[in-house]
Amino acid sequence: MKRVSTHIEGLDEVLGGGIPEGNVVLVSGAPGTMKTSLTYHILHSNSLNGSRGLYVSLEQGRASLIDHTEGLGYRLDDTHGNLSVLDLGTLRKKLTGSTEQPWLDLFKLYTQGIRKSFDYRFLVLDSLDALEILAKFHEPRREMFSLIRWLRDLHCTAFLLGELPTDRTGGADPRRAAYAKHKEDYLVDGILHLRLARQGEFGMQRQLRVVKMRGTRHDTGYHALVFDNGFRVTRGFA
Amino acid sequence: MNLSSAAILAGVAVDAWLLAFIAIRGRRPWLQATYAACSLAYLALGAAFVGTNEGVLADLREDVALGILLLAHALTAILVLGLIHGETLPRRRSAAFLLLVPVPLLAYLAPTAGWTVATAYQGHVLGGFLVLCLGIALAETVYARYSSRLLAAPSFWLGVGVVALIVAGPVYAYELEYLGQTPLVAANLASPIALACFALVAVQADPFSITSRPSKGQTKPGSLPASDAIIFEEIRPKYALRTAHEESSSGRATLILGRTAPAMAAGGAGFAALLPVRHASLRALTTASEFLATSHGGLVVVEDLADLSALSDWPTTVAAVVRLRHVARGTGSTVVFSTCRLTDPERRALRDLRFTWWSLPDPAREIDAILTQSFGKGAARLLASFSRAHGLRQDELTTEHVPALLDFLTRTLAELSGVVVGTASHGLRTQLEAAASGLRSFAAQTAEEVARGKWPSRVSSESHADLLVTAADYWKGKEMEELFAAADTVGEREPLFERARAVFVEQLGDAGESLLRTQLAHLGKKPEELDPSDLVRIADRASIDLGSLAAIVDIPQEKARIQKQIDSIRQQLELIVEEEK
Repeated sequence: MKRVSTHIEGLDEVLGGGIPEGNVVLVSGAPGTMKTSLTYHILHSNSLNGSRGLYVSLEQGRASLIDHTEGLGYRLDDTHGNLSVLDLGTLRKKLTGSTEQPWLDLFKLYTQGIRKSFDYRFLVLDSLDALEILAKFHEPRREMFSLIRWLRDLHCTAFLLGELPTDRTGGADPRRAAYAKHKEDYLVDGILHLRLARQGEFGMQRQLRVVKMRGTRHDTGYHALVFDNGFRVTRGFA
Repeated sequence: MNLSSAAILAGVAVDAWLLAFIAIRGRRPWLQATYAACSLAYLALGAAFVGTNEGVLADLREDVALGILLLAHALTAILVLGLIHGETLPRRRSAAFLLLVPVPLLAYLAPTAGWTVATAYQGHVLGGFLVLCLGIALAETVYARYSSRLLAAPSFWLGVGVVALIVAGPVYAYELEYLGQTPLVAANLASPIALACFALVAVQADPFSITSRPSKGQTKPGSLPASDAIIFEEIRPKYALRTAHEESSSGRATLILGRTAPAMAAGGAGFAALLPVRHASLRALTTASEFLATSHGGLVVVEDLADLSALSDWPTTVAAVVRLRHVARGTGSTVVFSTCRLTDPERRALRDLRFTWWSLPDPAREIDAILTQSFGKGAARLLASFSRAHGLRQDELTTEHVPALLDFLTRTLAELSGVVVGTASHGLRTQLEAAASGLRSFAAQTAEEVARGKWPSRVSSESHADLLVTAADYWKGKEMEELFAAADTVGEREPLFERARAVFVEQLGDAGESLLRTQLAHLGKKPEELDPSDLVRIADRASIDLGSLAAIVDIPQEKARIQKQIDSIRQQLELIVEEEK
């Protein structure tokens, strides 16, 4: 099985060598857990090595996203055109009657169409929740199932960003088995869970857990997710 | 009320709740009945214990108490076997019910043999029977746990339930005896745990709901081989669905398992929607086996194995497929699996199972090939006109569309009467008759005949197309061109909305239709109210609105491609408006 590297120090080891190519991975976590930055890092690092990536943003505008990521040191120009940001967030503002538009079909139209001229190997959908709201899923579980299957047929490694509510302890409850609203955690091939865990009286630590990754023997514990000059995953300590 | 009474009473309440839950929630009558009988037996034992302990009830007669205890154990074994083997157990493996035979006999012999409830688990025939029942249940659970990946999770929970009953039954009885304590008559403290585990498994393996279910009982034999599982290797499940339709129309009980109900299933076949749940393969298996157990000799069509594979995983799906073959053999039924969208390694893995394997073509391609034999490269134009007229994508064509296609071609030829005359007219008619004959004979073939015969696309590809002088070439020129033009005219003489829709869909895929409908909604019009002046406005708005589609892309080639599509939509809409004038 061919694996793709996350280019995050320590994470590939946790994943048993990387993410199996073509997997659909749900990256879920509460706001502020760096879901966007983490997935952008994976896209950016792989695009530096020549593997093309497409970042589809439904919430944040392109300019805002690039500002944010360049602030973290991920310069878009460095990728030499191997990383594309599709700004569906701006389309929402431009298109008349945006609430009535077929957003799911548009998402598919773009991602499938772009593939013809820009053969991307990585896809990020930011976020699944925004798409669900915009596309007005009538039968969310069925439509989510269909979407994930469709993504799998794209034969690229896809990351779906999912929002989890923040709880009073600062992170999603690890005992709660669901990492998604409509059981898409059963449908996806992999789940990366990000959380903010309390450290002492005042501190908070970002933590990452590989909940599921089909085709790998991965470590299932929580690990500290550190960002200094890039991301790093280390064994977390309380 | 002492502690043991309170604990048993709580257990009785849980047992009653579980009994009601399974009675309401379940979709397998035999299993529900067995579950109800088993839980009622435990419930009665618990209630009797609490009643006599608290002085509410008189002491239960020893033989009656023993009878219920024996019944509870025998039913536990039968229930566990039923949960593993499904609805086929009571119907096809009814030997399991022989476990009930010794119950009245042992209860009758108990007073003379000196067996009492207090000494029920001791080393005599009665104790041996009770332990045997629990042993059978445990052994079957362990066997299923390690022999089938599909049953691994349910077997685990069944194992937990049976072990709990053993610990709180014989083991606890020996412990109390050793400590010189009074046994809890026949009540088993772990019965709520065991019944909860059994209920969990019953829910995990609950069949999917079947809509338009055919009537139960013996069905008419179909044309497919009975007691077999057949793999339909095809790109889209067209033949699988057509076969389901044909078999159900001929009176055979048929069930389609798929994601969405196919339109052609309306001809009497039942449909069960695969839901995205964790144990999808197991539930698909129980749905099919429950259906075949009640409709002997029926047919189950699994429309899309790739769906099951996506919901569970491939090894679990394969385990379900293998078990379904056993079910088909055991019930004299047929199961059809369609391999569409399976990956090559998955197809190879299926081939290794040595199922009956039918490779089938895509009817759309074959129809194209038949028309090509008569009309040469113009066949594509004829099909495009037909598809446009019927609002179809060309890849959606099936043999079901052949009568409509023939009617379309006949109408097209009729358009030419008075324009093309004499020998040319005769030639066109001859070509059309040849195509019609080919199409009719292809459409009349069953899946089995198609799988064994030569496909038209292979026949034509073997004909060295470069060297072949086809009828189309012979007649090429004005007459043929006029036929194609006439087909275009017939195809385009459709409602305006359909023509506009075809333009949007051609350029933008599924999103195109939704975008067009949004534009219509802005105009406050319904599709049937669309007139040429609306199309002008839609074309104007589309070039502005859809222009945003290109603006958000940062890949120059893609931006240009989308812009080209938008320009093309505008041009085609303007063309339609011109033609309407």
